Amino acid sequence: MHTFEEISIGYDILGANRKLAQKNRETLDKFGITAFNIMGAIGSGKTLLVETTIQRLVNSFRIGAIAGDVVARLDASRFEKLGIPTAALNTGKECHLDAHLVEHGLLKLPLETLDILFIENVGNLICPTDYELGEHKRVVIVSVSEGDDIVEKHPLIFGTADLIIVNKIDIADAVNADADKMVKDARIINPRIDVMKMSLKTGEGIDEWIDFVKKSINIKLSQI
Amino acid sequence: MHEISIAWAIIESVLDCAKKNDAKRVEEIFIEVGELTALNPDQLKFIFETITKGTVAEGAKYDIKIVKPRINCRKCSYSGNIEFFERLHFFLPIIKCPECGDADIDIIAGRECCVKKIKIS
Repeated sequence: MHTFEEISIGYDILGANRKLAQKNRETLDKFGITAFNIMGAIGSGKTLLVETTIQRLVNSFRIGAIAGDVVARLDASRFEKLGIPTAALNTGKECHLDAHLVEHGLLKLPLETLDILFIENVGNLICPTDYELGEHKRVVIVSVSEGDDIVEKHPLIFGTADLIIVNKIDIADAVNADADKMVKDARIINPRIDVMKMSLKTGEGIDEWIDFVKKSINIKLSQI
Repeated sequence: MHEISIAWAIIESVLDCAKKNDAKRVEEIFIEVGELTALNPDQLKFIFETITKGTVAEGAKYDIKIVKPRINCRKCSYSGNIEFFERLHFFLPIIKCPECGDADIDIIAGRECCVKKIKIS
């Protein structure tokens, strides 16, 4: 005769990630580092956004980066070329970075020497939603070339974001995209979100983004 | 793809627990999935059935309970369920306090993906 036994496990996978993200956050706070989680679809401009920011701020702040690459070190090497301490994480088939991977990334960086950390997430508008990494600011970059309904089609990621950047506005006409609609959709989904239009090619909107980064650092420092 | 890594984490914890308790078979697995995760229980079940082949959990039954979101409001003292509003043409939970309408809330349930217990023989 079979005897059945009930064994309690109580393991919450997403809760475990949140706890680890909190630990990462405490580590970052200990070293006075402001961390930005840069999310967006493949090709939306995440790497170029971080590169551009590094070039603008490298003389004012000490910057580090964590780069998720599916294979090799393609994105990571772009940051390394700018002289920035970079932790490369190979994500393989994983569709998002998680707090565990970022914990490993933090171990590879000289944290005591950094003010800002950019974490470039995997190109994906769905999976990173549930995975906090320990960041202070969640930034989602979308490009007009993804179609101007991309924001309303992916509401979940914007619900937890602090800022959305609508990128590549210089080609909006060429791809028949209404950038203002994307801004409006983001504000409907999350009335608290900051939204900005940008072209990393022409430079439009970059000053506004740099102000956002500086403001985030100042808020962080004033909280210590 | 997303459900796969979560399913793997769940089954690993199940098999680990089964081994520690000398289980011959895992008969049933009880899981709670928060509604805010937007995880698909049918997809999870399909993946479970696939990845447990050849293990003591092969053929196990799955009891997947969906957990409704609950919040504590920081503005007023409301603690409880939230209401869902339909916006535009998509169904999205707008997370705000049903009592005072403020968005300054703590989500206390609805974001979990938890393997609660297993029945073994």
